[in-house]
Amino acid sequence: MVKKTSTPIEQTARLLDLVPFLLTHQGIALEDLAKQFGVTQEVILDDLNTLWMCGLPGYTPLELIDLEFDSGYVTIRNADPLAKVRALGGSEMVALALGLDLLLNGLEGLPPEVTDRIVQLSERVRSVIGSQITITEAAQTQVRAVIDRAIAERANVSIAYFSPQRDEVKERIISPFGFFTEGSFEYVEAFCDLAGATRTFRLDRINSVSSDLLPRVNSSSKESVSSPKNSQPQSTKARIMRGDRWTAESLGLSPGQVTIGESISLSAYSLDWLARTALGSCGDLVIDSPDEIRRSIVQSVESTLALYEEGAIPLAPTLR
Amino acid sequence: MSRKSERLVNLTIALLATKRYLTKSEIFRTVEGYEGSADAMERMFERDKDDLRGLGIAIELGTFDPLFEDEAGYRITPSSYQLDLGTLDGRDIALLSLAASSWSGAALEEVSTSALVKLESIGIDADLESISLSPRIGATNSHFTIITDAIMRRAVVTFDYVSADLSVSARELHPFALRGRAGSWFLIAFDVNKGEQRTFRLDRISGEVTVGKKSGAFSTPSSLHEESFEDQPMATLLLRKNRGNQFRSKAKSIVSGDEWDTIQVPIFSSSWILSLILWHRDDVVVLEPASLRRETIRTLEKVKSAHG
Repeated sequence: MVKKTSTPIEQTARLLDLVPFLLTHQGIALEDLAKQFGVTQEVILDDLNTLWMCGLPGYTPLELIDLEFDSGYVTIRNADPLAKVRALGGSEMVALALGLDLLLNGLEGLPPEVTDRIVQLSERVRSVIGSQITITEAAQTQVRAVIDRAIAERANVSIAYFSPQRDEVKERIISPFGFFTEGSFEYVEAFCDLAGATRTFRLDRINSVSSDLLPRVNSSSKESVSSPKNSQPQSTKARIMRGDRWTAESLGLSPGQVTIGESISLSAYSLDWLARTALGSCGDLVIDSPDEIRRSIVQSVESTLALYEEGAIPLAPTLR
Repeated sequence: MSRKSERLVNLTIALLATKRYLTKSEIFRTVEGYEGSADAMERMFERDKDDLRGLGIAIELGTFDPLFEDEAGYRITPSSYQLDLGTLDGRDIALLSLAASSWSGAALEEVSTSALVKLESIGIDADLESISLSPRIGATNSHFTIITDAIMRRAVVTFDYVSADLSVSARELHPFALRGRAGSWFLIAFDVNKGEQRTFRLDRISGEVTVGKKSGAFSTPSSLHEESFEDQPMATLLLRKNRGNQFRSKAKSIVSGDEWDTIQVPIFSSSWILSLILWHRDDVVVLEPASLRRETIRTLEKVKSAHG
């Protein structure tokens, strides 16, 4: 993300940080400098023109910061008072601390020497900002990192993907293209061997990923590919009997879209999924039509209740 | 070109370079950019001090000689201004840079860019080959930055929140901590109206988050009571082989059998576990506790009669 404008305060912060950066990067190209600071070249030029007017009181050439950038390469002199690198701000510290959390909790198989260093660095940062903001469980990091590498190396990767609709974990070989975010979830878009088509996978549903990348094979060499189902959504009628966040979140409804007891139309690609949702709502979601789905709900309740009868499961393994 | 940023930089230089406190009149006389009436300069200086403080630059107020009632003066102590993370070598720089780069495309991208610049400005070359994978922060909620900032500043936050019964109500909170867990962000905060500590999932916030102007509005307790695995009551469930994956990922123990596996899973909340048990239909059977077993049977019968 490249910024085109900034407030005087943001510019001030950048000017103060430009000086120590330039002192250790004499002769850097304007283009690279802009990239480092995440702004356009116009913004950086404006910064340099402003910085040129700054210095110690007196403001004669003796006191002013001396900058040279006409050639497209930047050198700086006479900037001692600002030579020190500015302390990290609170949110910069938070960014570093969370990044270190991810390195530590999210990546597998780091050498112990590296792990020790990360712990030490984390302690130093945390001694300033405390541990109010942490990432405690970062299972997706490893998954993401491996897929990221597969994208960069144009390779395939084998994933174990959990489908909650069917309560199944399946091994799939995917050729990932990229990541995208929708709502609060992150997805990877990839060609899936199993489906024989491009699919999106929610990152938090990838249970595991093989750390060895596979060569990307020519897609024409694929054997027996199951064709994707071109199913139409079915329309159903239902009622929500009680305000329940679980039900609303499952159906993707915001609180304002829910009216208690009123008949609503729901379109579902999978009636099985809708039946499960009705069960999971514990009676808060009642399906009125089609009859087929009502029957399947009753049937699954009956077969579940049968398991609670005495002696229904004779060989259950016992704990301890 | 901004006159204001020029003045702020000149003020910083003057206050940083001085060995003694500079009085206000000295500042107005010598620092470029202060002009106008005495009142106008006064107001300008007050705003400038606030702005620099906002950038994390502390301006110290003191007198030349504590025995005399001199006019107070100002300076910035170099030790408070400059970065100090102890001694860092090339490998430390590399790890910190890797940590900062994990934000690319996510909420804290902008501040991590400036953190990276500062790390590079130290002038030690990054040196590390042993990590070939770079981690990334995944999806972050749009409220993430504003809430992090409120936690750090200890400022009050208010927002509308969707409760378990789907009612939406305004909350006034003292935000204590933020936890990233399994792809979601949880805010641990003191709920002012409820008078107790509560946990909020960021994606259940409805609408905007407002942060109070006042910093240090409350004190953060030194130890937070956080829900952990161990504190939860346990349920014993039977799962059909290769089924019940959402339970398996949260199980404390799993004993494999022929057709069924027995697992122990924490009851994070009674409605959560009941929902998930029913969702799994005849792939999950409750063994213990007896109360949960009874509740499951009762709820199954209720669902049946609603669809019969």
